[in-house]
Amino acid sequence: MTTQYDADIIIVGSGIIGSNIAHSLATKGKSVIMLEAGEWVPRWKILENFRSSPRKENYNDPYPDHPWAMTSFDPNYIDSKVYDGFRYMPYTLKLVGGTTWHWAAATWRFIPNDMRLKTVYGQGNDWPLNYEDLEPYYYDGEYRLGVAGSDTDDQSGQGGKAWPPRAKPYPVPPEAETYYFKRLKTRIGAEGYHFVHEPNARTNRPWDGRPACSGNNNCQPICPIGAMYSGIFHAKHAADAGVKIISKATAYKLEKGAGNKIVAVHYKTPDHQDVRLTAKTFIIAANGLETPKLLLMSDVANSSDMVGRNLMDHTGITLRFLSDEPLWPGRGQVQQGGIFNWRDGPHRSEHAAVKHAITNAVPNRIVADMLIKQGVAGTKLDEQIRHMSARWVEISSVFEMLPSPDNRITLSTTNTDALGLPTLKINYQIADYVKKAVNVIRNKDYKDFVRIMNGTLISNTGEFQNRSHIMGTVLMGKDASTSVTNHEGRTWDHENLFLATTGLLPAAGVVNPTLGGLAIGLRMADIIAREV
Amino acid sequence: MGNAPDPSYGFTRRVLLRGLATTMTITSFSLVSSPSKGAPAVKSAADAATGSAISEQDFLHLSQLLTRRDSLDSEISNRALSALTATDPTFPAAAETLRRTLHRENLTDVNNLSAFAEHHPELMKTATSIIAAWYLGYSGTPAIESTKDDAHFICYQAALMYQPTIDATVIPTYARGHTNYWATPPATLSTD
Repeated sequence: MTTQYDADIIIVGSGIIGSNIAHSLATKGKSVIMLEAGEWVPRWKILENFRSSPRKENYNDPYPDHPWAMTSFDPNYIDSKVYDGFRYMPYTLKLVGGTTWHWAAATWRFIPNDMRLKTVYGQGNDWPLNYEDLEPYYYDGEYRLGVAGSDTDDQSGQGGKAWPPRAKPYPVPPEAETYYFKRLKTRIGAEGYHFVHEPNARTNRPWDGRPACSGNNNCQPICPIGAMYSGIFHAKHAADAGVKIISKATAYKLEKGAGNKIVAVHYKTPDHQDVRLTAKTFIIAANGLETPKLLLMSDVANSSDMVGRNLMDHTGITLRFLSDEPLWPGRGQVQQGGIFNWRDGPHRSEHAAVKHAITNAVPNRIVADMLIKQGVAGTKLDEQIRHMSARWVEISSVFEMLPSPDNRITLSTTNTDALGLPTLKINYQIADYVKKAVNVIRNKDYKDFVRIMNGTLISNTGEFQNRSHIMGTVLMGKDASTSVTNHEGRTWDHENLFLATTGLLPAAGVVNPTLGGLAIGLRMADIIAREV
Repeated sequence: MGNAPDPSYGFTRRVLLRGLATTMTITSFSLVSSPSKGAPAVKSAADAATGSAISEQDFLHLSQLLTRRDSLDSEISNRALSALTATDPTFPAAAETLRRTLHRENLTDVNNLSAFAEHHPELMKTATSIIAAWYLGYSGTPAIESTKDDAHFICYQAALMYQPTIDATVIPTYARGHTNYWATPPATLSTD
């Protein structure tokens, strides 16, 4: 007797990783269904929501938030415990295209030492695969996204030769340096701080139907013109290639069958339909929060008890000061690169790696709000808004975290959403490995930056801030007893169940993890295409 | 989504007033109440306890004084009053108290506000909330990582905070130049 399936492969989640895998598999001749909890929303609606909102710095605000598909900011969705005044809160969305609707499109490769942290520095984990295993898939991802990058920078931040190694140049050359970045680089760089251009998917040349960036300075929470890549582009490409995308479909159960294989996924709709779909292979690409949630709800893939644990992020701090010269941030994209001396080196045996990103957002709101609260009004208010906006410098720094089983996502035992599914609880504490690095940055780098620019300090409080780079929650590894998947992203417990999310990353490094997650996903697509 | 302007406090009145009150220009600031010309005041439960509520026209004049603008859009003014009231129901009465006190003390130029503030610190919260509404384009305190707060939208492009830099940077989401225009600084750099 033969079995008929609803599809060769079912993917849960239509974000950047799920949509690119779906597109890759469909173009290899596979039949693919992709489930998405949220809905299709056109860009213009998100843009108008942004323009007519009082919450311009709330990145989830212009996006749908339904009782049956809540964003992470819905007060009814995540119960995150506060430690030392800091509450971990990722910025996740639910709509077709996923949370990269409001990333800033930083597309870094992890360097080889990021993947060998245990071997080289005696900390955390090694990845279960090598840089060379991922290199071709990094390029595949970069080409899909139209990544603009420097072929000469040492991205490890040591001022050396071009690093990490690349087989092919970046698809798009870097955008022009802003005057602001150039001046900071000239003055601060003179004292040995290594400035690195940020590889990014904010294309500056027409690419795959997207226009070149015009400097609308609103990468987050919505690029108004679609120059910045988001998963929606490959969700549409996937649909054009024959992928069936089912929106408003919240997967809630993976059904186990003979031989411990997954035989079906069950989903619920907002109007209370309950649907079962079968496939040969299943890929869960529902981000670093929702992927472990689905596994926990289904009681699958968790023989190691590691599902939902080892939550890592790049929790950060910010320095603000006024330069002694007008630099005019706010012209161009919201960020362009940063200072990378602490990205790699022997210090990682003692404390976290650090990335300093230089913020280039129009600062008028924060400047005006600050002045008005100080009681400034009239002519002086207008003059000071111009004076300070021209000189505003903001350095956003992030820190490498180590995995800890106690930092974890669990299912609520008391609360459910409109579909009757459990909401989430998060426990996340920042360890000394990070706090030691924070002390170094606040007492050395930040003081240097202000001194070199002959600046007026606005704030150097060291207050922790969320960055929403979710990692570790379904970590990959070499040992089935301490990890959830192998190097392919295949769960140890179910040979036809794969996970495709930054939650696989077992060591966090200090760069935005999306391109790394995408490269693992594209490699997974090749592996699955050969099997199915 | 919850992001559209709340029709209960903005849209209806705006439509009603569209033919009645267009952009109002006055040449000198007067804070003498003019109830015969003003639209009905925003009513709130707090009025009875704390005194009369400011009229829309008086709020517009008060806003012009506090922002040092000869001309402000009356529709935005009505939206600002509604938003400030939605954030704080005691606002209309507090604004009326502020208006009367400024008039009584003959403060006609907001550049002298700090001297006034020394004698009336209790009125500064109301004064700065009006200035903030016009400059920032919203009332209240927007939540950064939640969907619940007391913030209300007033305007975006017209927010006064963008006027001082409009030749040099963008109002985010709008473009001012071609790709890579940002390689050079604004033409005003030497005098900034």
